[in-house]
Amino acid sequence: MDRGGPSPALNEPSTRAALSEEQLFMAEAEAAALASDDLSPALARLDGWLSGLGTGLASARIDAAALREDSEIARRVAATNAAVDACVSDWPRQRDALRPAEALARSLDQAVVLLVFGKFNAGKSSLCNLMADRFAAHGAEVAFFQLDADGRLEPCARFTEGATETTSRIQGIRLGQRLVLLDTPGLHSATGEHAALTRRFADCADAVLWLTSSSTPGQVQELDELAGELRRGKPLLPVITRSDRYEEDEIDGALVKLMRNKPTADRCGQEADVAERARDKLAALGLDVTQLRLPVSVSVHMARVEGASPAAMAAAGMDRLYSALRSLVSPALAYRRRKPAEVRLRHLDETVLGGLQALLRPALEQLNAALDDATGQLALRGAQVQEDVWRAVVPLLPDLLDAQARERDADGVRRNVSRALQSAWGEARDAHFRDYRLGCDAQPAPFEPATDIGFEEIMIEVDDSLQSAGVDATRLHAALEREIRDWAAVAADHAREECAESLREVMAGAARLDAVLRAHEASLREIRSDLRAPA
Amino acid sequence: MPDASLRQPATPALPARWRDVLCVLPHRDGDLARLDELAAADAPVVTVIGKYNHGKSRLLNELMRRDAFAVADRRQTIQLAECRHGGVRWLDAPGLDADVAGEDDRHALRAVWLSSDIRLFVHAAREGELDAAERALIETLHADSQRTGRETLIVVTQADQMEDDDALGRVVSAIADQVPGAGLHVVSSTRHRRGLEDGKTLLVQRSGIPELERALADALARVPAARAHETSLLRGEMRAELGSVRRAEAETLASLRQQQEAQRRAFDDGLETLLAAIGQDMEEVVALPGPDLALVADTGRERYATTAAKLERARIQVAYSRACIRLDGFLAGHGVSSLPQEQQTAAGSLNTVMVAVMGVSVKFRADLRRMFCEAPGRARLQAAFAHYFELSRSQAALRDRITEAAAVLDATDRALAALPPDAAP
Repeated sequence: MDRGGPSPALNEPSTRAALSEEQLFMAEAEAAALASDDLSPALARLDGWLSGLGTGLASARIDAAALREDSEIARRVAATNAAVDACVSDWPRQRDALRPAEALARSLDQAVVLLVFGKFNAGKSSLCNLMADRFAAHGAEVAFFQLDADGRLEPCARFTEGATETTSRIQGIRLGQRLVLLDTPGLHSATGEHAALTRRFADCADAVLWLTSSSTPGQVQELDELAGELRRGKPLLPVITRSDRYEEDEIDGALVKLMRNKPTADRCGQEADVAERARDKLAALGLDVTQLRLPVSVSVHMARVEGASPAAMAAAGMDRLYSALRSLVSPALAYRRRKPAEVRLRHLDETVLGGLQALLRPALEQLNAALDDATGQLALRGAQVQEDVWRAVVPLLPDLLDAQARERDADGVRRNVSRALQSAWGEARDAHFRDYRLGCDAQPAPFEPATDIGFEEIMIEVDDSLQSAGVDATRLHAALEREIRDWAAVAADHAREECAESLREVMAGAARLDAVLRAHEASLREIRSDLRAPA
Repeated sequence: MPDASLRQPATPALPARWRDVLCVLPHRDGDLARLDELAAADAPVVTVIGKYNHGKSRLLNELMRRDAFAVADRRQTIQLAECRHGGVRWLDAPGLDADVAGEDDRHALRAVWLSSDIRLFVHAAREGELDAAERALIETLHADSQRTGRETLIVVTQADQMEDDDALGRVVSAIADQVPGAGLHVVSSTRHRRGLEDGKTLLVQRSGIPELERALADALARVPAARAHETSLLRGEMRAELGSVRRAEAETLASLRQQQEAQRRAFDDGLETLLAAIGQDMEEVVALPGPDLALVADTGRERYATTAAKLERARIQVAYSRACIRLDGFLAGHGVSSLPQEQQTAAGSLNTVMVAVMGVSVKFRADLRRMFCEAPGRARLQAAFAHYFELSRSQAALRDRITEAAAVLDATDRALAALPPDAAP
């Protein structure tokens, strides 16, 4: 088992021209330069970004003290703050959960890793086994492995092939010293923590092969699962697998079957169709379509006939696959050089920032909608308060006036009106501004009507002297109504303004939190583009 | 080439007669369209549905014995296509998951839901188990079948593309485990075609098509009963829903009307009591014997008469002012004065109401007696103030809510009329 990769003679320039695509791919993969960039500045920036986010969030808690706890807005604010706390306190655990993937990345440090992605029936295992056999046939060391939950590699047998779902764990093959195929259970069928783990292992991949069966080629919604990988700039090669069909006939009362490669015309049609839709899908996902390589159709079954003879391999499409894989090596290496920082970046982007966005965006949106709604209602509520005060106090006037008419005590009437107003005000405020904790500032000014109008004595001249013939309250009544109306309008305006101010403060708090989020989205984008900028 | 009878069914715009039903039950648009399909009593509709390239069109061509639908080894049917044959309308739905934006899927699902009596759910044997999307769709179809009686046959196609009977058997039993209780039909369109063309009976026999045709014929025979069941089910469901909307709306309306009546009664009773009290007070003022001295001018008369006239006028003024203040208070309490800030505008202001009802002229003893102490006068005041009560903002708002509720109730009644229990619409 001390053999290395394929024979070094393969790398001699004189022999290259005579080599098959298969041999060239093996040679080039083995010769891949596995240098790594100095990533410590980028990693330090990422650490700084996270601690900055923590500080920013801590200083941007929303304050809703001016609203009662049972109001909708106060509840939404409390929920938003709690969501931030929950996210931040989960960071250490999320960081720990990343360690298995990092361990895997370290153990695959010396290889270019190709992710073999596809549904359970896409023929992933068959293709992986075939490539393992081909590398072994060329004298390369081949090792099958699977991953335990801690990201440790343990040896295992060849991959099981079958039409039903058999792959349930992450497995891989080391092909020679410099190439690894990583086969994950369908990203889409995994759920919960397992899905997160699977995605993290997918981080280790430097390029993606998307296997799609010729029976239903190019179900592009599968690419949704790959969006995370593709966003990291990894190249994507669609492989249309199982591009073969049985032909059968009835001969002498028995069915006779023969498998053949699909005709070139059918393969071209499928490849063009998959290329077109994959391009549309990448564009729809906002991804760079130049990552996409032209699809290649293969039949592993047909490649294996005649002991995988060169002719059988070529007819099955394997030469074209190798040629496509060769063009994948160089962009894969570009990703590989910055991989440790990319893994970290992805964690911060998807888990940390993505987690915050998923909770905060809808929470802030709902909070802002509730704030807009409450603001829009203030005018109506103010008017209702005024109306209630008016309808409660004005009907009291006749009795209040009657009570003081004998003493002509207009001040007494005003005092009683003032008391009635205060109590009517309290009730109306509680009915219509229930959600707000109105402070002392929102207490209406005392009712202080002008004292120049009072009861009017009706004087008549009797025997050359003036005598009172009674008292008329009409002018006093009219004056009081005016004053009540004005007072209620001012008091309602005042309270409404204080409520509006409370709402504006909460809005400002929500905007501050939003700004923290946006600023960190922008700075992470900047770190990412610096990381990916050509040196 | 596709058959000339192929056509794209128009996206059905619901006819005007459903407008009333849609107005109350907008989410039932699909059910109403389905009712129209049922009422048309056209030939039964068989729809194939499944992922693209799983051999839907090929299967239809075999069942119809002619090449009506285009086939190729890639995504082909982009839009819904229809063909009539043998007293059946055959619909080829576009493949599920075929395009990026999901346009195909929407067409496919609309066809499945609206037009079909029988669905053939197609899945290629080579693809192995059903995936999550397919399982979800079968579950939905199954639930619909339980409800409406529309049947779904699950057809495993391309049986010829499996290595041998064992491989096929493994896939079929895996699928059977995924959809327990559903009979699976395993077919090969290629074998059927080849067998017929070359006269090879084993191929025909092993194609599974004859068995599928028998099952389909049985299902087609059950279509009339299923349609009758579905028609009465949809009508019944929608009528029940309309009925509960109607009950809720009638309750709302009744309570609003009650509120309106109670407010009016409180106003009428309160005003009557107040006018009676004012009338009683006025009796004292107007009960003095002799001529109304207030009518006596101050000039050119003897001093006694002048003084008495002034006294008379003063007493009348005091009594009348007090009456106005009491009426004003009462009206404010019943919202006749509406919002304070609107006081400043002419319309609806309390002063305007008082002036309109009481007039601006100086009142004499006879006026007060007529207005407050005699039944016709009080009745006039009662009616005049009630008129302004009805015009008040809060009463207008209540009336608007009543009108609105009554309109919904009417719409519900019209909807129920448009959807009679059993007769055809």
